[in-house]
Amino acid sequence: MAVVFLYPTIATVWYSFNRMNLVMPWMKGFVGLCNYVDVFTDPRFWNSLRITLYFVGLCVIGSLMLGSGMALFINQSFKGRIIIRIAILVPWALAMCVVSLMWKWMYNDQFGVINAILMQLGLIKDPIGWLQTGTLAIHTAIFIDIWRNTPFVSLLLLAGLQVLPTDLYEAAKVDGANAWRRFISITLPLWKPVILVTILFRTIGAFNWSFDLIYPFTRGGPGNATEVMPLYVYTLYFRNLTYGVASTVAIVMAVIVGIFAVFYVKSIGIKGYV
Amino acid sequence: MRKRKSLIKLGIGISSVMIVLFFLGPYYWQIISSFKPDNELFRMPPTYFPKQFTSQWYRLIFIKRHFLRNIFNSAVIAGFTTLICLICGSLTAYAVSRLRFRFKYLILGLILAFNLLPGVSIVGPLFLLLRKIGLIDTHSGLVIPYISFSLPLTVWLLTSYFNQLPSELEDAARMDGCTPFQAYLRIILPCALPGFFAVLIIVFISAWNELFFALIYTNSQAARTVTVATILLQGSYEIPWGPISAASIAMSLPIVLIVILAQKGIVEGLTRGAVK
Repeated sequence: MAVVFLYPTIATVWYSFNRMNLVMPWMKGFVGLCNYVDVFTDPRFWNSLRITLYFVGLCVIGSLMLGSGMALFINQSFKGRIIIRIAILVPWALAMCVVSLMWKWMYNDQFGVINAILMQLGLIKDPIGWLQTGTLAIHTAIFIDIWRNTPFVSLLLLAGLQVLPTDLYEAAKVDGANAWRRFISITLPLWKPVILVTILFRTIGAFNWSFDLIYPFTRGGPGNATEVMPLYVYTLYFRNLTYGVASTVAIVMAVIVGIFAVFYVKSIGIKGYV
Repeated sequence: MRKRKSLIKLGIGISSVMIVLFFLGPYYWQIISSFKPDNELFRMPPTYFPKQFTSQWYRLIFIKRHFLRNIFNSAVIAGFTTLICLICGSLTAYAVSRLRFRFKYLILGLILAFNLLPGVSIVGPLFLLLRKIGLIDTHSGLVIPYISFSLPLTVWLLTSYFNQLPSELEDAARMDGCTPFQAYLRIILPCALPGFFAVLIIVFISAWNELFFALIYTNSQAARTVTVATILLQGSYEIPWGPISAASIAMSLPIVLIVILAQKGIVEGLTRGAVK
């Protein structure tokens, strides 16, 4: 018992050591809330926040809609499951930066295959500069994120679908409910907890890891149109070297994510989990 | 009735094809791009299957850019991270799963919370700390943050996995005279191998694919991981798409192949850990 107890204690100490939130909103001297005031009055901060929220919002909604459709689809048994499963796992196995560069090449305005296909189909006449305007750039990035994360979302949702009790469906069929009615009254309500958990999980993930997508993709440009918060913090820390302000923004971000995290932990219901 | 059934089958078939094309298509594109020579790469309209195969891009990154060194770095870092996570994490998970102690739920909640913390919150001060210790630009400099990211997840996944193994097994072993540790080694470990396997892959892949910390905590080309090396192929003025495609494939294909071979175990491990 003692041996098994000692190791986890060490492990806990280990990662509490690493989670040192040595975030000092003060730099070389206590300036109190001065940094916070600076940050909250900086339009670049608000721009970054707005972009991040927009990005995360659309990503989550997009991958949820697509993912739930896929989950429902895959839930029906049919042949060819393996190839579908492979197709789904590949985006997850690829590094986000690899995905980012891969799509960047496909979206290349002069030689990219996307423009090529659109022109060959006659849908557009001149190549579109996908990364040249702010609006197009951010939406392209959102699409890439959706592409990469929908498979994972659909797997989570699928797992939720597969534990639904089948006898409820049979009882409903006996009572004469058609497929749509069965979906609305049985599937949706029982699916809700899983959907909620997935949403929160994906939201937090999108917040935290958007750097890997955006940095190789546009570095935050054009202008600041795709400067999501992790990228902004990175710039503050390692380009401008203003550790104080950077830490402030980092804390703000942590708080935002923390709020989502609280909802997430609550909705999982730890006690029921373990 | 038969007509309806065959219509449905057709619908399923088309949807399946679309899904496969949508998710595998871009990767296929990247693969063939890495084998196309200059003139074919930069041609409009592009060729959907290479007319000429060239290995020039691969030769470029491996010979001129020492990509193999980057692969080595990534492998070492991801390997150590996985190893340590598995060892410490499994023992932690075992304790959490089998023992009852006062702060159990608090610790679990904390573990979960740590997992959700943004990397940016710790990257700055951790950088200063590592620099002081002299661990920037080293393997350990990255292993340490990676462990702190993956350990919570490992513990989480393995705990819920252990919870599903009945404790009668260890009771029986204990009656036969095993110490708890021996019971762990001989009985639980072999049973838990599928779970271990899934966790191993997940941790390894997330360490291998990580960009943010790897970018910040390495300076020299010799210390860089594959992710950093790949994106840094982009220049300020022009982007060498040939080498980039080759590098992307070189760093991702091994992982993709592993995932394809192990797909069943991974799906089980993932869905079991995240959703009950």
